[in-house]
Amino acid sequence: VELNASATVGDLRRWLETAYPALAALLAKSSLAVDEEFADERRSLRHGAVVAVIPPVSGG
Amino acid sequence: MIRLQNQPIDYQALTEQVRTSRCGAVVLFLGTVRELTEGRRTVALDYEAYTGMAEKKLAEIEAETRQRWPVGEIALAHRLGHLELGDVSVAVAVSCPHRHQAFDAARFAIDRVKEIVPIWKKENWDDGSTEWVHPGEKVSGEL
Repeated sequence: VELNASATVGDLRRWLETAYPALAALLAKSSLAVDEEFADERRSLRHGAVVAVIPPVSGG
Repeated sequence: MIRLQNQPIDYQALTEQVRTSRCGAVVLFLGTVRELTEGRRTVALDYEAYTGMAEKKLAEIEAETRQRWPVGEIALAHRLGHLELGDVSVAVAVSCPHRHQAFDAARFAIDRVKEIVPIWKKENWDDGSTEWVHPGEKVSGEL
């Protein structure tokens, strides 16, 4: 994914919503993790960051 | 001690692992595959994890639990893969000096596992349909 240099987690979320409309409903309920840690929407993304979409969990 | 594993959880060994003469109480919690959910019949569950992060979160839960209670030893194990009815999907074993501490610590740990660890289950219903379970709200990871 390519975003501008000041992009935040929230910017990536909006990019995903546009690129994958079918994902929108689940994405709205999902958290985003950056480099294996839950991330705030305002957090800025470094080049090469690994972002994971984490739907509501159901372990146990 | 934390562990994600594809093999069955040896909960007797886990319980032995947390026993210590410093503690007068050991609590073992087991989560097992239940047949009925709101009238629907499960035949099996499949568990998947975002493994690296799941291990990190389990380790955080161990640390959080140790901060809050005088834990002697604690073991958290979660199973992944295909589980049949009655199989053990998760085990929490905790020892503390006194029973109320051990009960509270075990309860806290299993509740946190269900809140913040990136593990998901897929229901295999008896009508042949399958469904990933996404019960809650967004995970924030904050206490």
